[in-house]
Amino acid sequence: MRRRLRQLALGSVRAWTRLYTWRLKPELRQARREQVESDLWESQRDPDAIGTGALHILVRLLAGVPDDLGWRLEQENTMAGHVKLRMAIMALVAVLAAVLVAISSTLWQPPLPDVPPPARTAGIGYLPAPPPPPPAPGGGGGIRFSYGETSYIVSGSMKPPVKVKDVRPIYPPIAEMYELRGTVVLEATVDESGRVVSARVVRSIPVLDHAAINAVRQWEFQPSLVGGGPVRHVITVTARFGLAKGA
Amino acid sequence: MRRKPGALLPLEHAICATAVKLRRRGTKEFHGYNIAKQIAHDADRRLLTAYGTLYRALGRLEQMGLLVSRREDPEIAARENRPGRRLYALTAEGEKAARTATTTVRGATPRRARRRTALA
Repeated sequence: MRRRLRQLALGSVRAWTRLYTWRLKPELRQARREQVESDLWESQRDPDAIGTGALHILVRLLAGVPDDLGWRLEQENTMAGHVKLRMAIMALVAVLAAVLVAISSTLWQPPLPDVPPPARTAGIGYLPAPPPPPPAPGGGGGIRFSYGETSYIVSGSMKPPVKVKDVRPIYPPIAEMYELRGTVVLEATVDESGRVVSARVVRSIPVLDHAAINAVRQWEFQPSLVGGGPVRHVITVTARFGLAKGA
Repeated sequence: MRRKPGALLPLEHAICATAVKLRRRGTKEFHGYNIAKQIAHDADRRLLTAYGTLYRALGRLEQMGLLVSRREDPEIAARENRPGRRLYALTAEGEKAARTATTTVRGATPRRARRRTALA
């Protein structure tokens, strides 16, 4: 029950962050979402964390709602009146939902002994820690990574941009060890100078998403010219991990 | 409520002062969770700064030129299988502001200022 409430609280933070960054410029939206996601990840895996429970997460969320809305208004001062009203209504609904979760976490949850947080070297989330890897043959040093395979397309009739810098996504060793395979699909925005300014997950495999995003964000393309001027592209990237070619 | 020119809000001052302390201990760059935890530890509080309040304050300090930020090398994050961090560092102006900033905000009553500090 305690774990479920914590997951609900984490989900509330993510949902609220998506809501108040909705329809902002991709760079701003992505940057804020990544910051909050990193904060959530760090706090849940820090063995010396001050508070990791659902109530602590929700208090941090609710106390920051006015600043989230203020930041949002600063980023886009020209929002239309009806959009502001819609945002205000959605904010109220999100706050009420968070309050309900907070109340249920205090009323329904009997006091439990403190459970120490998982050690930093534990496996993904709540999976047990994997056995230590066997020593490399020949006593070789360093870590050898496997990599995923990627491809990309551009929707519509535009010619796909030419990639000049490719970075293959690292297949996370922990995912490879647990034989977690699959295809992550991302939608990435390439700006006029050929750099990837944002990437969002369209089809998610939780442990592999970050590896795909981290690689794609480092790609660089030749600027494409349309009508004499550079243009932005939105590309769909497929990142396959642990699958044979063509799968 | 108008910000007095050159003044920092209590949280912003706390971020700069904590960044100075971290730098003295050899940590030149920090991320949001890191600074929130250190601020709570120094103030002996059990509650970290709210997400919205913290990241808005960091953004403001960066706009004021007191902090600079960069995105962490994605390969490091991929190797550690975690989301990438945005790393902040204190500028020379930030260090000066941490030493000399006043923490008053024009128009705020002492009670309102105390409440704002408590929420931070």
